[in-house]
This record gives sequence, structure tokens and C-alpha cells, in this order.
Amino acid sequence: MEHATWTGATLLLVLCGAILARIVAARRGRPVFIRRIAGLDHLDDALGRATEMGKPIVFSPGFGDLGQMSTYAGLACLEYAVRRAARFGLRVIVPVAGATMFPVAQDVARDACIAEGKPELYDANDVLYLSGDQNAFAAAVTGIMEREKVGAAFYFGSYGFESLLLAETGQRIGAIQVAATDSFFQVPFFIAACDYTIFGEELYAASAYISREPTMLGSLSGQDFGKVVVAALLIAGIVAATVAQFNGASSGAFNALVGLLGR
Amino acid sequence: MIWADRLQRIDNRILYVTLAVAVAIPVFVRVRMPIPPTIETLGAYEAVENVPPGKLVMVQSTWDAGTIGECEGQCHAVIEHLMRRGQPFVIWTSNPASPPFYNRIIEAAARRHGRVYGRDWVDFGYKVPGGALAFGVQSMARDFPGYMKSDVRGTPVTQIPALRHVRNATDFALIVTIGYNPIGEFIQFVQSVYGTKVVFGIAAINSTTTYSYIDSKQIVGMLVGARGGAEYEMLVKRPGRGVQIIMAQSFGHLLIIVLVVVANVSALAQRRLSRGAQA
Amino acid sequence: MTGWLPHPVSPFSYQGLTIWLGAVATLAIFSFLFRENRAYRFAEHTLLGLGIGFGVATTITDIIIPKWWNPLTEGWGQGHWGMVALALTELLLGLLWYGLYHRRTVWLSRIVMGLSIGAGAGLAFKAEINDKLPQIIASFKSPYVPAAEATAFNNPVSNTVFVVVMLAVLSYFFFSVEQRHPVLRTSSRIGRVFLMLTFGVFFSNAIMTRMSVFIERVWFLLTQWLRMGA
Repeated sequence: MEHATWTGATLLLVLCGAILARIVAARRGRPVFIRRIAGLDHLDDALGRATEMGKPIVFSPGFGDLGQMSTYAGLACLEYAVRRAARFGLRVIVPVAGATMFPVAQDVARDACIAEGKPELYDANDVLYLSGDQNAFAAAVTGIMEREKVGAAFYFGSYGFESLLLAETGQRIGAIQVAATDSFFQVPFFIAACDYTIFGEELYAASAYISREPTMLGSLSGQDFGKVVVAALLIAGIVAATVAQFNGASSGAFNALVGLLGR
Repeated sequence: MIWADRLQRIDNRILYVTLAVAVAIPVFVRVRMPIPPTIETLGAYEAVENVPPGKLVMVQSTWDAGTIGECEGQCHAVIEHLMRRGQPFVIWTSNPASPPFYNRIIEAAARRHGRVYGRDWVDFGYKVPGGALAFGVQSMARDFPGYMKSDVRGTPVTQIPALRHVRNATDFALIVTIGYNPIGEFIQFVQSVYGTKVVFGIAAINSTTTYSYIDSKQIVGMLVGARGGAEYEMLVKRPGRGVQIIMAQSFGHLLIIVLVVVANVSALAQRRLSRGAQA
Repeated sequence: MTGWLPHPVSPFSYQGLTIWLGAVATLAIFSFLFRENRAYRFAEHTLLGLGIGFGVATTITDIIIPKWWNPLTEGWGQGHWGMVALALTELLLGLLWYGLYHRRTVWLSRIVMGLSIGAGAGLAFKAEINDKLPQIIASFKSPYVPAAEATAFNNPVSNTVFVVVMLAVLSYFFFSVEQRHPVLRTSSRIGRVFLMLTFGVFFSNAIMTRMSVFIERVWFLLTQWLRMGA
């Protein structure tokens, strides 16, 4: 459809309304519950192990650009990781694929070091703009990982086919790896090659949990309401379809529901 | 169980060489295997077959050197089918590296079937950056000549014989996209708005979640990786890169299955051994 | 393809030289499988340089010139001041992105960033509705289908599996409740199992894709470069 229909507009209003309402509530200080994502414990463990080994870590905030929400989730987790690393005195290498991402990643890393009271740990040369080309980016990051013999590698954000190239290299050099991505196609590679993988919307949940940012928390909570609405719609549709199958094609409820959504 | 330990510690490099040897077998030995078409490939083939004579088809190609293995067979088969039927088509890309690859295929097919540029096909080259597909696809669907303006040779759309009557997406009977990723924008902004049929040619890795579009009838067919290309090549009776790759792939897959079984058996044996030692 | 023994193509022609360069670059990249080395690093940096250079060049020749420079100069030449004003506004908005590179001007970049994200989100609303609504409707599947009406995509077994998997996976992604309730916990666990199965399918499809890419390169080396084969 070129323009919004009544059904589409109503659905959008309900879903967006719920998200906005929860964001407003969270901003006003109303507590929003988000369950802890198991993968975050592994992030802390990996940082600890890298410290024991005395090796630097690589944190990639994804292959996405600033237009993608996963990038912001990755940056929130980058801040968390750099702060933790600063406490242990660890060097963090941040490879970046997008030119617009580069200064933002630099800011996040610098601010995180300052927030931990260790501005001297920030080295601008450790935030690297490599390439917007997937092959070139993967080739460069794997080269860095091999040369620097990193102790831990974190992949938080959106990825393309470079995911396996990165994760396999990390595994070969014995780095502890944690991945978090909403790029569903890349999840299996991370599962196969990383020590722990956070996938799908868990990435957003993890970043909201870490940052405690009211907008992120409220948005996640509002989305859960949206899922309930969609689940209810699906169940109603399945029941109506089943009744239609028993009654032949003349089921009014099923036709009405499909007609309503298609209108 | 020393054998289990040894199997678990096979040098990766030996595996790489073994895989290279396995996939090279069909280079030296002629192999024939049946390649029956799957329903998604048949859907794509029939969609092209059922385009009314003279009606335009749009081909959007995004594959390049990195995805030759998956997409060249698909492109070869679809272009061969269009050229053989004399079905006029336009082709464009959102990947600047793609034109040399699809043009090589088009020129060879045009020579074989005596087709003429401007009448049987029109190339618009790199028209929309990958990041702006949503805007570009919407604009060209709404006003094709206004958005495309001119082809790669600089000829205005209105002066190209095949496109004289084209206004918007309803003037295309079918859209075929060939590349690593499915181009969802054609579903979101063209199929759902103008009703133009869509076929996806994609890398196998991206097929899993794309099947749902066939179920919901948002696409009429799909070519899945080299397999889809090989099946289509067999349907148009012109085996090419797709068939070559799928033959070699069969040997590679056989090796991987053997390796997975061996690795799991040795891992289980090793685990049993270590449990026994602990007891 | 002319035999079992390698006899490489001559590098003293344009096509031959292209094949030789392709073969050397392929071998340099493959050498990484043996170990990290200078040849690989050279190929890596060449690829980086080529990627950036090619991207910049095509952006100028295929996007900036036809979509911005030509309308600007044509508008100027023909006195279409609306076209000129539009092109200059585009230039101004584009330049605002560079505000990112200095702390004092970073606020300028936020204006265009906001515009881009807003436009992107607006498009996403339309895209998601057009993309997902037909799929929601297609998900109204009955676990009972008369044998005469059953098809590959619509039969009792497929539909039952579909419904169970869909609802279980949906429940896995609830974050604002602790998954302690037995129904939610069980459903969520089933969802995770099915997700892992799906990832297995993704993985095998990925192997297929990677294998195709690898085979193409091996065949290139053997048949085009070394000219071997039956």
C-alpha cells in the first residue's frame, strides 16, 4: 500500500504509543524491569581473562553506520567495556567500518576512560577507521588480531559475512570472544566460533541493561507490549483459520480478520 | 585412545588442502548428477515464462567478484531465458562493482540470440547507492523515466525504443533481483504498492528467512545460491557456472559430512576416555 | 582447459596479465590459511586501498556528478534558480556532516543526523507494515487441513510446527518479565531450541555459500590460470 490504511495506522499508533508511554514513564523515574542477559557475565569474564594474560582486547561496534539502532547499542556496550578495561588497565583496540562512526567511537572511548579517571589510557591511534568495504574491513581486523595477539574480542552490533572471518581468526589465536548481534544470518557463525553469543533483540536488552538509559529501557518495555498485541492477533487469526477449515470457506470471523488487516 | 587425540588435533591446513582437492575433482573428472528443480526455482522460471510477450522485465543485479560463485549461475540462467524469449528488460545496480560482471553475460547472450541494445535490453548501470535503496526504489517505481533520466550511454529514457511507454512500476511485469542479499525494498515499496511480481536470486545463506515471502506470496520464486542457478540453468538447458559449482560443491559437502562425523566420534571417544581416567 | 598438467596462461597480454594478477592476489589471500605473512598483508592493504579508492571514485562519477553537479550547472546555465537553490541546500546539508570532526561543531552534524534518522524511521514504518502485515496474515495457519487441500506450504504437520515455533520464539524475546512462570519458561526454552535449530540451518546454508565462493576461486586458479582440466 502506498499510503497508510486505517488498520495499519491504528496498529502503528498502538505499538508506537505503547513505546512512547513507557519511555515517558521511564524518564519520569518509574522503575522499568529488564531481565539480565546471561551474555553480559561472559563479557566481564573475558575482560578479566585478558587482564590475566596481559593482552589487549578488540571491541568492534559492528559494521553498521549511525543510521542503525544496533550501532547505538554497540556503542553503549563499547562504553561499558572500555570503562571496565580502564579499571584493569587494559588496552582496547576499536576497529570502525564507517567514516561517520569514527569520531563517535573515538568520543565514546575517550569519555569512558575519563569517566574512570584514567584519561591517559585513551590512545586515539587505537580507534581505527579501516574501510567501509566488508572484505577489506575483515582483512584488516583479522590482520590486527593476529599481529596484536589479542586476549579477548567483542563483536557488538550489525555484521555481514565478515562475522565468521573475524570470529574464526579470534578462535584460532585463542582469544575469548563474545558476540552480540541483531544480524540473524550471522548468529550461527558467532555461535560456532565465539564463547558466548547474544542474539537478536537481546543486543538491545543488553545495552539497555548496561546503560540504564531511560529511553532504551522504556523502548524495550514498550516493544514487549507490542509483542503481546501481535501474539494476541496471531492467536486470534490461528483460531479463526482453524474454525474456517472445519466450517469450509464460509467462516465470517476469518474473512473479517483478514479483510481488516488487508484493508 | 591415541587415535581420538590425533583426530582432534588434525592441523587445519591439512583440512584446507583436502577440501581444495575435493572440490577440484570435477575439474579433472567429468561428473554427471541429476539436478531436479525445487519449487522455488520452478516459481522463478515460470514467472519469466509467463511474462506476456513484449512486456518489460526489470533485473536488479548487485553481485560482483565476491559472489560470483553464488550468483553468476543465476544471472547467466535468467539472462539466457530472457534473451531466448526475446523479452525486453532493463538492468541496473546498487553496487558499482557489478556492471562489468553482468555485462559480460548479457553481451555473450545477446551475440548468441542476435539481440540489440535499446530494443531488447537497456543498461542503467550504478543508479542508487546501497544505503539509499529505500528512496531510490520508491522514486523509480513512482516515476521511472524521471528518476532514471538516462541509460549508461547517456540516452534519455524517453528516446530509448524499449522504454517509450514506461511510466511507473506497473509497466514492468516482473522484477528479478540477483545478489548476495534479498532486496526487501522491492517488496516493501513495489510489490505491495503496484502489485509487480518479484523474484529473488540470493546467496544460500540468506534463503532461510526469505522462504516466508514465498509462503505469503510476496515473491513468486527464488533462486537459492549456486543451487538455484544450477537448477535454472538446467531448466533453460544451458549448463554453466551454476552447474559447475554445484558439482564441485557435492564433493566438498561429502567431505564436510565425513569430517563432522569423524570429529564428533573422536570427541565422544576422547570425552569417554577422560571420564574413565577421572573415575 | 586443456590437460592434466599445469601450463599457465601467458602474462604478456591484457587478459593474461589480469588473470595473473587475480591468481597472485588469490594465493596471497589464501596464504593466510597457512599463517599471517607479508604477502597476505600486502594483499590486505591493497584491497583496503582499492576498496576505498573505488568507493570514492564511483561516488564522484556515478552519484555526485549526475545527481548533484549536473543539476546545479544545468540549473545555473538555464536560469532555473529553484534547481540551483536545491543543489546548494543539498551541499550545505552534506557539509554539516563534517561537523562531526570537531567538538565545537558536532552539533551541526546532529541536525543532518536527526534528519536522516527521522526520514529512515518514517520509511521504516511504511516498509515494516508492507513487509510484515502480509506475513502476519499468512501466519494464520490452521493445524487442521483437509487432505484434499493440503499443499507443500499448507498441511497439518507444517502448520502445527509453524504455530508452535512462532509463539515459542516470540515468548523467548520477552525482556520485561523474569521468565519464572512455568508456561513462559517452558515456551521460552522451546523457543531457544528452535532458534538453535534455525541457526543450524543458517549455518549449513552458509557453508554452501562459502563453499561456492571458495570453489569459484579454486576453479579459477586451476582452469583459467594453470589451464588444467579434463
